[in-house]
Amino acid sequence: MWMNTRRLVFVLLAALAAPAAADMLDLADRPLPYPMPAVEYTSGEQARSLAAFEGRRYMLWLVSTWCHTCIASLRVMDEANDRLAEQGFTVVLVRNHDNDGAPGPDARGFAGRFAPRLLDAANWRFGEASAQMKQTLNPRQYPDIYFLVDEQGRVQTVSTAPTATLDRILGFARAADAQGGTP
Amino acid sequence: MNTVIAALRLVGSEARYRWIALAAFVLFLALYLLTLPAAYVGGIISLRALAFLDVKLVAFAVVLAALAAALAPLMIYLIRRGQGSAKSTATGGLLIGVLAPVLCCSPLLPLAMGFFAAVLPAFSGAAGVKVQYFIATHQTELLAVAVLLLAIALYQNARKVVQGTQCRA
Repeated sequence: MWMNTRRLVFVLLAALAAPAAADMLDLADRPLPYPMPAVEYTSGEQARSLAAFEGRRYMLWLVSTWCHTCIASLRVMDEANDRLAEQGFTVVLVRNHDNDGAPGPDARGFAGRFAPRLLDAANWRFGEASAQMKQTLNPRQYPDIYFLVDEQGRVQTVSTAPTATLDRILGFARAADAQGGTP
Repeated sequence: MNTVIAALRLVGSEARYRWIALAAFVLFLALYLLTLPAAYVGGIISLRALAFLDVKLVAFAVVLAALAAALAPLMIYLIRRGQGSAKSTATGGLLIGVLAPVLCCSPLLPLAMGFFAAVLPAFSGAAGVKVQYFIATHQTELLAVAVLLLAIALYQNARKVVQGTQCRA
């Protein structure tokens, strides 16, 4: 009985303590900032390099289409996109490599289903992560992970769940000082 | 059903158990209202998650909280009388209801599985994402199982309460 009670109390306390874990959504696996590795994704069967975004602030967002946080976050990003677009902020929405082995639409189909307005947004790009991108940027296979990259091509933030961290993204998009570090 | 009603009547005849039930309902309702939509905010339990509540999640939160509120006074009643209460099923129901939304889509499982894979090379680090995929695509079924387990626990404990009074008689 004591073990069961202890287990239950531990789980409930852990669950209640989870709000404090909001700051633990930082998923960087190395000290920030660091140069964004030269990795590619595919879009319309063509390989695309992240080097094409150098000189501007952008967000590389890897999602799995079955992930509830990703769906809710896409809607939140859609609502916030006018503010992001005003800052000239680009979002590269890339489906995780092979969608983590699960069935589902490609990145454009995913956006078309849950936030169709974004398909016509000039500041959004869509694609599929290469195996190399998965190995380099998301080896742990987080279903939802994003990288905020500055004008110098340096990763300033690695996080997840824009539903919970939208302020961080908006702050980064607003930041005028390219040397400003993590917002 | 009759057993449950008889046990709740018996235990509820004392005011303190009615207060325990009320307090448990408020506590568990708050817990479930914050926890069930956590799947939409990276597994984080926060007030922000409330924005993602829908009719289905509110209904599950109310039903789960009501079952937990009915269960709590019965279990306390049994413990106070030195009778063993049935805890395993109740624990299972509570764990599934709380853990499923927290683990779905959060970084916890990939981190844990990555750790195990580093310690045990035979262990696949990709197992985490497979578990998360299962949880994400079976959310309703898992919550229904949590409801079922709590309902079974309620019946098991109600039967013990009723049997206890019959033994004394």
